[in-house]
Amino acid sequence: MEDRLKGLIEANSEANRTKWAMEWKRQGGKVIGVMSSYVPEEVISSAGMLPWRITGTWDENISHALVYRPESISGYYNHALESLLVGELDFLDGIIATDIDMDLARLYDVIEYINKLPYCYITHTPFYDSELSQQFVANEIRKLITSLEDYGKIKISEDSLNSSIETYNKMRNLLGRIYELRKKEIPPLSGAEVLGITTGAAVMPKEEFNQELEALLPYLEKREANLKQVHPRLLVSTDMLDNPEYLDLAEEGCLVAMDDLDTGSRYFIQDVETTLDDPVYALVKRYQGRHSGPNMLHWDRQVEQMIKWVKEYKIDGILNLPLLWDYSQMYRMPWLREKLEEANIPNIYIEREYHLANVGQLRTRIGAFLEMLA
Amino acid sequence: MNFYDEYAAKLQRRIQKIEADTNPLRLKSNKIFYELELDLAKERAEAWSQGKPFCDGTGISPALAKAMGFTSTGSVESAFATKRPQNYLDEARTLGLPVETSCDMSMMPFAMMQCGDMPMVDLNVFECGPCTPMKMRSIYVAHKTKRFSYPMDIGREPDEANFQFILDQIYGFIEFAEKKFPGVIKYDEDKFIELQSYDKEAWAINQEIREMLKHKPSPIAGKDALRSRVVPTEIMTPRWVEFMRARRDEVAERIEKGLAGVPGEKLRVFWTMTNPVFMDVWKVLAKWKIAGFQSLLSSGSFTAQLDTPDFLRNRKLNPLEELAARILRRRGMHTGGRYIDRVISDCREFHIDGIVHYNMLGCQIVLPIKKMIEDQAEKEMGIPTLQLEGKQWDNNYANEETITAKLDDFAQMLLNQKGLA
Repeated sequence: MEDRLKGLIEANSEANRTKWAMEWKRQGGKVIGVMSSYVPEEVISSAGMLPWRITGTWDENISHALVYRPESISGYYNHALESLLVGELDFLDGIIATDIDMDLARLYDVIEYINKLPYCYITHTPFYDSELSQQFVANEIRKLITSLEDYGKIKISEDSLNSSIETYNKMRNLLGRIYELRKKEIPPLSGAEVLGITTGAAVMPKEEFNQELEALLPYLEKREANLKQVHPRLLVSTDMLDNPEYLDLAEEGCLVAMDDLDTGSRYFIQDVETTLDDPVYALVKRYQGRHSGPNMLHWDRQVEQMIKWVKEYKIDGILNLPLLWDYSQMYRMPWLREKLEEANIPNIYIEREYHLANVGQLRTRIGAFLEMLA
Repeated sequence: MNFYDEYAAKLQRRIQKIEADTNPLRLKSNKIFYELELDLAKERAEAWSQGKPFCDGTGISPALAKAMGFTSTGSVESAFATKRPQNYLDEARTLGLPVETSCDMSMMPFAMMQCGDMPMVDLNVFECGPCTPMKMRSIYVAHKTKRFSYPMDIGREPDEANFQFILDQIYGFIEFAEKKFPGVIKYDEDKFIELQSYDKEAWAINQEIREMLKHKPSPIAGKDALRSRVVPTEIMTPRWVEFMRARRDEVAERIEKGLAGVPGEKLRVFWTMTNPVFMDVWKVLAKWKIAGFQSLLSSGSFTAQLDTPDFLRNRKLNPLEELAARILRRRGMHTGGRYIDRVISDCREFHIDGIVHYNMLGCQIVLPIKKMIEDQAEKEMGIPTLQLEGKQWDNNYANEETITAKLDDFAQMLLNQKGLA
């Protein structure tokens, strides 16, 4: 069982992440790269295609990407572009992005321009959730469906969409159970291991992922993670963090007991309602209404959720690791810190690169924060 | 002294200078422009002293906000005109905002309000354009100040669904504002139509001036060209139209007399998006006899407009639908490809010899497309692009000396290329 668990934890490692995509293609399927958690993956899946979250190269060298984009914008998008340009993503049959972040929209422009992928599509994601914006997003999803139907030369039925939603809800439910186990004094998984699993979910066919995780759950209910420390307990918050080594680094001196990551909790939080007649509208309500990141307007709800998690997971402090040049995180940060301080929640923010870098500095600063918490 | 009083004093000095200036090369119509700005500064100062509600309509429409009874602070335009930018950047730093890495203009207006030099907006309309820092600033202001806020969101495509989305939000804005400021704020359609009419007339004249700039040598260039910008203007009065007419007539006269914005004009450069405000880049180019073009052209700044989509062409629209249509068309910057097409098209029309792509730190609109624009300029027109880094007010990142040196090198290269050195 431990080997099987390791397989899941390392699913998104550099060695393994394309394994399932390649197998999918060998069986004649199409693989669609996804670069935002606002893309409704169920739609891609219902078209018989594999949604595959793009992880950028974890190497420091991104010289090819820097020909197109400067260093002074999102490292995740630069590293993803590097992967594309050096051929690491040649297996992709397309990419779907959203414009919730203009930097991603502009990356999309470059990807279209270099013309390496046979299919490129971008949707609009309104930055606030209301009945009006939901109607708009429903239309955007319908347009996406039509586009995938044209590309794949298939018809996406309501049944296939509902079936896909069911599968994704099962994934969400299973990951939810893992996260419940994280509340234990000694949880079954470290923060780094959990991130491995959630990012692994995003590159695997969901049916297979669900099967694996379901089989592992009884084992996990008894397992205790091999941790250097169980205290203090931290919640890590950021976007575009997919390298578990960052959390390994933090966990040299603490336990990352919970996260507020688009690659972690926000990837699976909140099911799609299955009681609604219209599955498209059900998708809208989930993707627009769930706990979101700072790109969305509802900062008050976001901080409320974080404070709730602090209580539920017995968190001692919050470690914000905003990606350099991620403006949504940087503009929210002063306000967020103010609110966390009002709630008496110790917190720190340390800017980071996309790839693991400045390890010494990070170690020192995180260490100082942990000492303060002790 | 608050910003409006400071600015009013500055404008008065400029007006006196123009009155005393006998140089025939200087544009006399600038005097009307400064008088209009002076009236606006006084109007704002007075509204502030009377406790009238403020709303910066750039997120939706300055004309609509004004027609409802709001006054605008000036926002980014005020930030461009301030004499104390470092004070406000320091204030933004104190607030914890990302001054070193983001767009100055996304932070300075709020910093000016926090310092008490401009009134805090009573209704914050979220910036709905393509600019993430501006959007994030609006969200920050909403949560930081707890003032009333109204989000405006716009989709990518100029289609029917997007048009309806925009229109519904416009109606929602009116309802929201009237509810939050009962008895004070009310949509006055006649007033809106009147303000829109000045705007339309000014825009039409703007297009005439635009055509005249194609003349070689260009009758105006650089800063003078920028002063003719129409959108987003906060001055919607008959006198604004009078200024535009005076400007147009003066430009036509200059063509007749053979007067040039840059005397002895040898070459033309197109400057993308924004520029450093702490120095006069146009003067640097002009010393090489190079005329600079920017926002007066259709691709400039946020005026980048798409053509009217087919589904709207023959439709009769009410005033608010017209506004929705106008916002819909202002999608030119949302797609890199469309923006670059527009730039290239302008470069062709205006016989541009080189592009300065201002890679402003923090600008997610221009930074990620730097190579695309350079490639397209080379491919479509065989013209070179200078990739120039800098900010707007903050000169710590790139100072005047550095920028001047790079512009000088570029200018020399262009002149050598054309055998005009």
